[in-house]
Formats: sequence, structure tokens, C-alpha cells
Amino acid sequence: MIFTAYWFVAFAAIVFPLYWLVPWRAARLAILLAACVVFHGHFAGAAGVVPIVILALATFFAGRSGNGRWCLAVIVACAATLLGYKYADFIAHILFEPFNSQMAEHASVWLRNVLPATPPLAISFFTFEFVHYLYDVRKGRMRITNPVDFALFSIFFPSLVAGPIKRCGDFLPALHRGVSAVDWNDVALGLSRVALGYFKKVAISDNLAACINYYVPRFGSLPIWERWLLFAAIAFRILLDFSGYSDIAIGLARMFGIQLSENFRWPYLARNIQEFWQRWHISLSTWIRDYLYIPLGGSRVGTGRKVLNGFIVFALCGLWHGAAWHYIMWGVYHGAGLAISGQYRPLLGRCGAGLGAFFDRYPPVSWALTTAFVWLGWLLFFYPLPEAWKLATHLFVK
Amino acid sequence: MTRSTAIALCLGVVAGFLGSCLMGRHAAQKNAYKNFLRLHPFLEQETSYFPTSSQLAATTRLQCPPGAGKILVILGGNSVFNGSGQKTPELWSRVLQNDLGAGYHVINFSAPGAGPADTGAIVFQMLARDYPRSLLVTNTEPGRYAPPESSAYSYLFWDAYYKGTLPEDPARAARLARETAADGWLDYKLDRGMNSRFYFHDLWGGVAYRHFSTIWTSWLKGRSFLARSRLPDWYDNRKGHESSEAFFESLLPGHLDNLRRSKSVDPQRFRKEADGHWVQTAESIQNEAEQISALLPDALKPRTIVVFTPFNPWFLAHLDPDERMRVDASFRTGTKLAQEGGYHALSTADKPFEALEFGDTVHLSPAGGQRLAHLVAAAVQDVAREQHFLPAP
Repeated sequence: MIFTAYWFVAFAAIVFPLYWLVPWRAARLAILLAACVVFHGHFAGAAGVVPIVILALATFFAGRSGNGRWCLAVIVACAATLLGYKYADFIAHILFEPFNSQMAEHASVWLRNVLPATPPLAISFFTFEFVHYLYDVRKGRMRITNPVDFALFSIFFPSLVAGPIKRCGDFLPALHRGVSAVDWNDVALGLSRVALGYFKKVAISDNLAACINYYVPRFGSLPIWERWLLFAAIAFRILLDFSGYSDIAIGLARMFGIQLSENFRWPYLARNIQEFWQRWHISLSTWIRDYLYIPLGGSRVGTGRKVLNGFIVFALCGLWHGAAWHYIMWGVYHGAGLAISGQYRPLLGRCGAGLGAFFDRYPPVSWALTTAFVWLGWLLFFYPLPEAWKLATHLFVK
Repeated sequence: MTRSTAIALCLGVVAGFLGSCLMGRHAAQKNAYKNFLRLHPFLEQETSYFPTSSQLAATTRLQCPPGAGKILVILGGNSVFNGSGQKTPELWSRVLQNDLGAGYHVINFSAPGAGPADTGAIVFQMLARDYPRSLLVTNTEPGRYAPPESSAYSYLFWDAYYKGTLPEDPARAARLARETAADGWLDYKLDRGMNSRFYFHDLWGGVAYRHFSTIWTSWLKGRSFLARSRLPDWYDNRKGHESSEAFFESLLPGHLDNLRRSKSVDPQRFRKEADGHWVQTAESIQNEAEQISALLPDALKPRTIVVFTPFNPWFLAHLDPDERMRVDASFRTGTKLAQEGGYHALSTADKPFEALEFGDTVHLSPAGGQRLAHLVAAAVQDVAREQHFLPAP
């Protein structure tokens, strides 16, 4: 994890005091921009920086021109870059494997030779932020003309690696407020948040990860209650890992006086799947809602189309997490959960209404069902389908 | 949050950080391990516990204060010297202490997988000036002379190096500057550099030893968060195997494969002479001579005994004649190179170790440990005499 690298600790120890001690707004902006450039350059390397700089320049100029066609062209370029770097190998396998596995292997080898071993750092986050900006420019909602503002929106280091995914409309006012008026309160709140994030990530999540890696291969030989304990550990590990990372990002930004949007709000307290997605990785789920689901028709279309759109966007959401079938399955699983949770009342008629009333009357039941659904989903998220199925059945069968 | 609360919190963070640095510094100097006998798995990195060089030095000072008038014998080396498989009462280094008597103090810092210049050798260098009458006894397999800066226990070397507690060695400094110039070293150098100022590894090591650990490990499972000082020597509660041919049979073919993959058998290091004998190639001899020479500063080499510990003859008998000849050549060359490099060398390959004095291919049973202790004790006494630091009668 980048935030636990000693380089980052040394970097933060220089950047933050410098930023706080300099009283001029413009100087703070310059320090912050320089810090972001150094951070991105250090962790992404030249191979990671170049494609992002090209995309950022294209995004900035297309946005500044306000030309809808240019914006659309750059949106396509961003999506194509993401596909090329992150999914080319996976797509090549999907395309060629059914016809000729040797050809699929050749394509895979060729791609590995052509592409870098790892995609540019945080390319998924960059893509989502650029697409959001260009989409909003096309809709006439905003336009950034100041290159420093755009550069800071693009490579703001606290949120660069793992989000939250920023929105220009929220970020830029927060940025200007931060550089003008960062105060003790921001620093104290930021520090507390960073400490909480490190505790979640390093003290709890990393230990859970070690424990899970050791016990999962022995899952079938554990007593039933220990299997359930491990099942809960898997669910809490991803929550604490990801929300810990978000806490660190939000806390670091706050130490600059910049408030980022929240990314997690007690997701395991959700009482249905819609609510879960309003609490889990909020910046991603709202991005998907605004830039995929609504453009596909949102809630204005018929029930069948709405359900189909739900499946499509959640399959893409799964794919965004990684280039493997089990991520897509996880997305589809949540798409199905949303469809059932959103449609069972009208579809089942009186029976559905009764069921809905029962869940409304007994929230712990709906909470338990939602939690079970979400936690079972994590098995799909982390493991290939056969292994996930085996783990799930072992929860109930000896 | 009010402004005054916010200021108090920020100042509290700074004070907490400075306090932690001070506590880490204190732990580095004072946090000795009580009743220390060896780096058993709960006290070393296999279980995610990383004793620091300062803590090992403090343990040595606690057990044998510099003014105690004893000759300090520090043991380094790998799992054979660590006494892998031997329970506390039968540990070979205790036999060595008995053999040497009260005029000597033996402390065993050898560790599984460690090279000859790791662990104990680091502490030996750190204390060489304060303990002019100290010796290092370390073991290895011929051909394995990994430099401490890139071995399995390299963290310990860098810990001492960045704290500035190792004696000056210009050749080593030049080598390290060359090796660590690459970008990949940056984060590691920052870690060790910051630790040498802030002592966070010492603080964690001290807290984990005395109060509670923070890392889950499969070795300890439910006891992972207990203070390491509350855990017994791992080997004491482990069911041992009686050495027997039947047990050795059960280790085949895995252990034999390991032996065949060892440096001593590796055909890359040897060439066959016209008379059918195997000798090491000139290239391998030159490489190994350079590696041996770089293990320790020149001034400390005469106070160092390198022991080439033996292989189990039962497993050696399963090798083909060519492979056995390579093992013999490896031990001969290793001994010669160590002596030419300025160290004392003790090859145990030609000593009469019986098959049943081993627990497996290389690790010694309690009986084998006793034999090793007697051999090493004699060598230690010889070197102590040669160095003119015999204990007062």
C-alpha cells in the first residue's frame, strides 16, 4: 500500500508543514501541485505518467473548448485507454478462446509484450474522473479554464490511488477553500481520520488478510462456527481495508483543508441492497448512477428495461474492480439483488406487499437477509466461481 | 471541534510521536530478552517478530556485562547452530557452555536460514570494541556465503548499519554504496534511515516482547497477540521424532532432493579431473573467495571460527559416487578458502558423526549436538589461546 511506504511518510513530513507554514494562497497551490506531480511521478513512473498526462491534456483542452464532439471523442479515448491497458488480455481471451485457444494464447503473449506489466497507476480512477468532467461539460454544467485547477483535480494525490472518485463541482470549491483557509480544525480532524484509517487498514485488515489466507485453503476442515467466523472475517476485511484507505485519503485531504466526499457510511447496517449501495463505495455507486444508469434510461424506462440496465451497469461495476469473470459475476449478482429488492413488491402482488410490510415491521430480518446476501457476494468477489460455491456450501454442510 | 481542542489534539500527536521516539530509544538500549537461550521461532522473523540489533546487543550486555571478565562467545549461523529440533535442556549451545566452563559466556544468536555473517555476526561486530575478548563462531554449508546486506536477515544488518553501530569497513561501505544506488532501495533506505533516528522498530519489538503483539501469525493462531516473553521456546512443546533409519526413510525423497540441490552437490561449481576426481572450478573458487573475504571486517576475522557443519551420512550414502566426491571437494575447498580469507575454519565433514546423531539431513539430534559442542569447544579454546585472551585462572 502506497500510504504505508516510507517514501510516503518522508514525503508527507515535508509537504504538510511546508503547506501549513506558507501563508499565501498561490504558494499553497504551487506546493500542492508540486507535491502531486512528485507523488504521481514517484509511484507511477514514466510509463504510468505519460498516458495519464496525454489523457489529461486531451480532457482539459476538449473541456475548455466546450465542443461536444471533442468531448465525446476524448471520452471514447479515455474508455479505450482503460480497456487497452486493463482489459485487453481478458477481452482477447473472451474473443478468441471459444474458437481457437492457441490463438487466444498468442494474443495474450503478444499483448504482454506490447503492454506494460501493470496498467498505469490508478488508470480506472483517472478515467472515471475525466469521463465525468467531459460528460458534465457536454451537458453545459461546468468548464475548467484554469490549468492549475484541472491539474489538481486530475492528480490530487490523497485520492489518486483508491478514490474517493472526485467530482469537479465539489472538489474545486473545496480546494480553493482549503488553500485559502486551512486551519487547526482541519489538521486535527484530518490527523484523526488518517489515524483511524491506518488502524483499520494495518492493525485490523492486514491481520485479517493473513488469517484468511491461512485458513481458506483449510476451510472444509474447520468446525462450522469457525467457518462462519472466517466468513465474517472476509466481509470485514474488505470493508476495513477499503474504508481504511478511504479514511486515509479523506484525512490527508482534510489536512490540506480540503473536504472530500464520504465513501462509506456503515454499509453493513443496510437493510436492503439499494441502501447498501448508498452506503458502500458511494463515490463509485453515484458515478455509475449518474454516468451509466441514468444515460441508459434510469428509472424512466419500463420495468424490464430497468432491470436489464441494472444488470448491465453492475456487470460493468464488477468488471471495473478487475479483469476476471468472478468480478463480473459479483456485479451481476448485485444486479440481481437490486432487481429482486426493488421489484418484488409490485411483481408479487399481494404476496409481495405482505412480504414488504413484514420486512418493514421487522428491520432486523431485512438487515440479516441483506447482510447475508452481501457477505455471500464477497465470496464471488474474491474467489473464482467453483471455489466460491464450495466455500458457500461449506458454511452449511460438513 | 473548537480551536483549542484542535490545537491540543495536534500538539498531542506531536508529543505522542516524540514520546514514542524516546520510548523506542529506551527500548533499544534496555529491552533485553530475559532468560534468553536462542532465537526460537517466536523470537524471530518466521513469526513476524523482528528483534533489532540493539535488542540483541542489550541482551548480550545483560547476560554478560563487559566488566564480567569472561570471554564472550557469540554464536551465529543457521538452523543447525540454532539447535533446530533440540529442546531447551538438550540444546547444543548449553553443552558448549558447560564444556567451556565459567570463564566463557556463550550466547546463541543463530537463526534458521541465516548466513554466516548474519545475526550473531552482526552483534559480534557491534560489541567487538566493548568486548575485546570476544569470539564469533558461525556455521554454514560450503559455498553459502551470502553477504549480510542481502541475506534472509538483511534487516538486522541494515538496522545496525544505519544506527552506526558497526565498525568502520571502507571496502564494505564502497560495496554497499554501489549496491544500493538503484531506485528499488530507496524505500528500504528511508525505512532504516528513519528508524535509526526514531527507533520505531525497537519500540514495536519492545512492546511486542513485553506487552502485546499486533500481528497475527499462523504459528501462534489464537496466541498471536500475546507478549512474546510469555511464550515458551517453540521446540519445547513440539513432539520430536526419534532418529531412526525408518524415520529417515520417511523423509525420502524430499530431503534427498534438497541435498542434491544444495551448493555442495551443485555440478555448476565443479569440474571432473582426468583421474575421475571432482574439484571446484577456478571461477567458483574465485567468487567464493571474494564472498568469504567480504563477510566481516579484516580486523575481526582472526576472532572468527567458521564451522562447516556436516551432512547426515545416511543421506550421503544415497548419493551417487560423483555427488559424494563433490561434497568432499566442497568441504575441502570451503575450509581452505575460509583459512586463506583470514578466518579459523572447522570442517566437521571428516569427524565421526553417526547417522543417528542427526534429526534429518543436516540438523543434529541431542547426541549430535553434544558431539558438535565438544568439537567447537576445543576450537574455541585453541583460538582463545592464540588470541592471548584466556580467562583468568
